[in-house]
Amino acid sequence: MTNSLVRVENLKKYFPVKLGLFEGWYFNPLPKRKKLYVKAIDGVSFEINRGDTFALVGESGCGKTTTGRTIVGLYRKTGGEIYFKGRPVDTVLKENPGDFRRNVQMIFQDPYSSLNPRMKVYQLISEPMRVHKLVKDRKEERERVAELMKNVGLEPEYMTRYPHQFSGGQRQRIAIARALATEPEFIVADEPISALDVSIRAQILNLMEDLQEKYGLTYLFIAHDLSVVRHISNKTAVMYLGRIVEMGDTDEIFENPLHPYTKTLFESIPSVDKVKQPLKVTIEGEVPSPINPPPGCPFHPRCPFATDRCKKERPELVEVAPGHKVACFLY
Amino acid sequence: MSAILEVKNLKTYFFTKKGIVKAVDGVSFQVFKKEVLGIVGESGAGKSITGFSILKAIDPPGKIVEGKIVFKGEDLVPKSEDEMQKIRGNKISMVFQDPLTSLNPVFTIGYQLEEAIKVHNPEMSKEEIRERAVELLKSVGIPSPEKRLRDYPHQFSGGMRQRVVIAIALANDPDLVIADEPTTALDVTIQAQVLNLMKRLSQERGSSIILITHDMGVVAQMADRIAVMYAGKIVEIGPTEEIIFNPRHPYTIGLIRSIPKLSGKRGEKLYQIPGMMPSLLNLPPGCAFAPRCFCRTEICEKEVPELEKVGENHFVRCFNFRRIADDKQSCKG
Repeated sequence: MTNSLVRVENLKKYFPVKLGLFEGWYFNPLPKRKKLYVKAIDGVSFEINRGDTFALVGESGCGKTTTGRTIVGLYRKTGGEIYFKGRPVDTVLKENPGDFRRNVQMIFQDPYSSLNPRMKVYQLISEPMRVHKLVKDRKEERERVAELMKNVGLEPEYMTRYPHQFSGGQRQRIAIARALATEPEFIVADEPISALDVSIRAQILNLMEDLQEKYGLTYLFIAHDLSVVRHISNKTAVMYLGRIVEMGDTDEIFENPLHPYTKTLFESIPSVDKVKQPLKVTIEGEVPSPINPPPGCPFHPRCPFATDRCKKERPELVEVAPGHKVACFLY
Repeated sequence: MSAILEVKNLKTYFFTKKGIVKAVDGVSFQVFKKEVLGIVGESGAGKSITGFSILKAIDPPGKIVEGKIVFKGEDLVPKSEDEMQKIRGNKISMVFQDPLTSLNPVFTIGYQLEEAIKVHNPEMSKEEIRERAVELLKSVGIPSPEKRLRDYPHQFSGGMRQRVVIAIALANDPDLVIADEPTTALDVTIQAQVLNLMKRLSQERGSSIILITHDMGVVAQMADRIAVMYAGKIVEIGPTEEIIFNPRHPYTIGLIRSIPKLSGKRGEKLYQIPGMMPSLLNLPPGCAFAPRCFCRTEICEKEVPELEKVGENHFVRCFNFRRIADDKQSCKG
């Protein structure tokens, strides 16, 4: 038996761009235009092993959230394949949709909008159990909710309160308890701490680590903050314009970044490790539009090392050291 | 070195139906010429309200109830709205967090930039103003500025918009720029560009900056001095190196230790400050940080500590800072 829990192969997700007023009408008086797509993810492959915390990092618009949502099934993929425990998700969903959905849960970025304001904490946490018929009766349900609340650091007495009566950090704890309610093996955490205050972030990160140990969870951790990624993950993939540009063990990526974009990210992130050093600007310009990405390597317009080849050919991910892959012609 | 701004015992309260919210409660600090002062704190600590108070841009139910804001020798607190209008955007300007909402979507960039110049320089001719606007856009690194003046805010990306906002803030060579989370809405690579630009331009023009942020990393690299705010009060203020490497207040210590480091290792438990910031409506009677503090004593729960000098320009608001052990985790005696 392999250790792989989730494997993604050449995953693609394109969103169609609405062009004009008459688009999609039976009678369209305007000349037909070419359909445009936002290529949010454009051929992404990676593998997450059991017990891993796999981090996806990148700037906004790089496709990290879309990747997470597509894996969970919130978006229908455009191409490629997702394997869960070695079997294609499409087949798994056809045979036993409940099993996959119970096993794969998600924690969202903003605990202010991810919890229904009209539901009490008890309802919020017990709903997934009821949907998946995991409890026999009310008594067991109540016990499970109380236990989950205790495990995420909430007082079980609060189960009759509404989300607005809690602070951001506490709401994120509720969201985590809700995700754990179905006893999942795999959790996609989409920027779970970005909306929280600095002194609360460490609390939630520590909680996620404790829970991982306790329940044997596997995380896909989506973040833009590199120091958080360094802290929590053991594998890291750096995304740029819908593609993975570098991937490997977190320690390796942080100690020996190879792709020019990864290096830039490390240099431009402000950190208390770099007191009074001026911020380095190694690249100018901004991320190009994913509707019309540059040909060849998506990073070439901003890359200081770009050659003619980068403008024409798209570099593939190649293994440069055991487990360390880079998509760049320099290596 | 002379201070261009001196805030003395500033108190800004909000008189709400639920009670008095002491958003800023006795804040004092100075800003020197060409200096970058970083104000850090969590949401609700009062850092933004401090910034707005300096411009007297506090709407009811908020009110500056006490204190002095001495700007270049003049107290701003008793000044009328008309007099303040002459100062805002001229001698003191502000850069806001979200460039999409701080620019007016129905006017061109050129109109908004020229307006900022015209209001404070009525004697300038149209051509002169246009020239100035082009020069400003060029200085913030916007390519083909003559053309871009005719564009609307939605035609710019987030980073470019924030550059425009900075151009407007610097339009009249202000003595002080208050930047309230100027890069929170931007990506890291763009953030570095914008922060560098702000620092370079203000140094060239001799402006001082008050940089309000929650990001310790940003102030560590940008600021000359740092003020740490908690529940409406400055709990520690001092030179950047001192605050980062030798913090003395338990809150600052906890804050710095709880941030994951780039050089950190996986599996190391992060230090966590227990609990959360108390509601400003319902502050504990003594030190506001006492309920979360690892070094609290009886007096902390009864009395509010004053800022005490602990080093060159380094002040801390704590009764027990001398008892904090060298490992910064425990308390002596």
